[in-house]
Amino acid sequence: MSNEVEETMKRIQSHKGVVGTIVVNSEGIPIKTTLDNTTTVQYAGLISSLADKARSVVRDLDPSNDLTFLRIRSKKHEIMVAPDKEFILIVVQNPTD
Amino acid sequence: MFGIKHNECVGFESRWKVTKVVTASSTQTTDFSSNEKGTNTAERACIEVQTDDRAQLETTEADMERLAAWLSKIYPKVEKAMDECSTSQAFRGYRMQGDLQDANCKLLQNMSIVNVLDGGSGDKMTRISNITWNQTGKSIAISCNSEHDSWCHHNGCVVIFTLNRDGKIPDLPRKRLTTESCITSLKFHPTHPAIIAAGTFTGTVRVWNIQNEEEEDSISKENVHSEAITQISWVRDVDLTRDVLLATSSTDGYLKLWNFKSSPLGLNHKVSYKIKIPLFGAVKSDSEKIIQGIVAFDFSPHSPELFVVGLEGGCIAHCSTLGAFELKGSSGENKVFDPLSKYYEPHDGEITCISFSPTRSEMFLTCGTDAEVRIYLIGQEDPAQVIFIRDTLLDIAFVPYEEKLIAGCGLKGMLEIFNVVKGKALSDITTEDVRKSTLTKLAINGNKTNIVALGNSNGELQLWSVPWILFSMK
Repeated sequence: MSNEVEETMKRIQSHKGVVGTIVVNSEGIPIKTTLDNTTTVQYAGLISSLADKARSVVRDLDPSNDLTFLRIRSKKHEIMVAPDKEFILIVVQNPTD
Repeated sequence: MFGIKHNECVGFESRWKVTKVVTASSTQTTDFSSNEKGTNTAERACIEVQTDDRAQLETTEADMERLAAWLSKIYPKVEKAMDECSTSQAFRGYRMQGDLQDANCKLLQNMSIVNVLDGGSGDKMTRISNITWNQTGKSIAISCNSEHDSWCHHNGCVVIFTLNRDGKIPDLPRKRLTTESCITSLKFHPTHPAIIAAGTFTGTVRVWNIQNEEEEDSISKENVHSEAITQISWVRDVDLTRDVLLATSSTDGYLKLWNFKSSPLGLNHKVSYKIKIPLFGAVKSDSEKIIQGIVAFDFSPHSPELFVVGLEGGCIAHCSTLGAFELKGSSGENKVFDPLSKYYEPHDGEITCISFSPTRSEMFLTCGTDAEVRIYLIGQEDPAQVIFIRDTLLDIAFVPYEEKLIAGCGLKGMLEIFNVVKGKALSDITTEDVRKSTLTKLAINGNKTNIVALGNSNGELQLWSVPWILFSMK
């Protein structure tokens, strides 16, 4: 099963402009990563707390609603966050232009 | 008063043997001593370095089976988002408010093309006649020509440069292509980055694939037109919208469409159009010349059957490929159609440029030697906006993604920017680093729209970085 996870990670990583991929559990602890340790820990901690915050915003606005996807566009990167109950997938991508 | 007195003789004992006794003595108070003391404030530098604790990657056990299932479930969504990110143009040219202060128009490069592009025979070509960027915006093709009083007797030459990593044009071209006569129009294919077409003064069309090392691997169509080609353009096919056609216009009055095949290179005649001479009334009374030759045209990017043609004498004709009817006297393979629908209010001078707006389907602009830039709406015969200018513009273009801006260049020797809505010039871009001379061509990079290439009559190419958003906010 671990192979299957690696396979999907590789597929994401091979996508155009992808800098790194991280899978984080619900506690914000990284499970799988393609980035170095320091960056992974930073991303995992900060993004998971942001994702929690974003989710609570969406739910507070409408209790029947939920956060499905979060995209952050910065000057250097685009960070895509796919949150779920158990895991969070973080993909860091370089925009084209 | 006078008397005599005798004095007693007095003798002196000689004392010549007595020696003088001399004693030398000196007095000195204390020993001489000197003391030196220097004072200097000591420089001291303290640097403290604090490093974070090394991040330790905590390892946790996770249910790999569930993770794999979740990942494969979420993957299509993520893939879609990643594709969107890499193809999205939403942030193209976007600058944050704070970034605007340091955004300036900059001359990136100024280089002489004439030396690189010497035709070899005849007069030296001095004026940049065409500049075109390829689809990826990484290559630029440039051609030069000189004034022609009669027939052209030079060889034409195109140089193609591929930008280096820092976005500059290298000193040596990647490729040189030669033609039998001066090039009047040059265009890269809109989707295939290696295909380039050129129209010449003697009415021939040439298409090259610049990926191929052999120059022979090109197609050349002789006698496409009986006079000089004024413009060539790649246009979408109405019948098969995936296909791209090559359109050529000439002073012989014909506009021809050619079916194009990229491999192997092929060009087949599709249809010929000829615009009927306008009836009196549509033409200004002072232009008595028989209006025939086509000087400029543009196909609508929104509806491929629609095009606007500029005729000699300043006439602007609205045409459609769908409503074209066959002209009397034409038959067989040489069938000629008249696509004319109506005329617009003509220019008082020759038309130099016609261009459809990339953002608004009903809008196009024309520019003439009467020093007017006119904005027309398709359904309206009179211009919706007229911008009066002091010096004639030789080339003009809508700025991509900035629907209110147009950029032009001409006799003034500067890049001029106009606001379509306000109908006035916004500003001119120039620098003291370049010698001012007539700018003949302008080409905006399709991929990095803030990069503009300008060619002048001295054979110099200027590469500018122009943050358009600065002007659209004015």
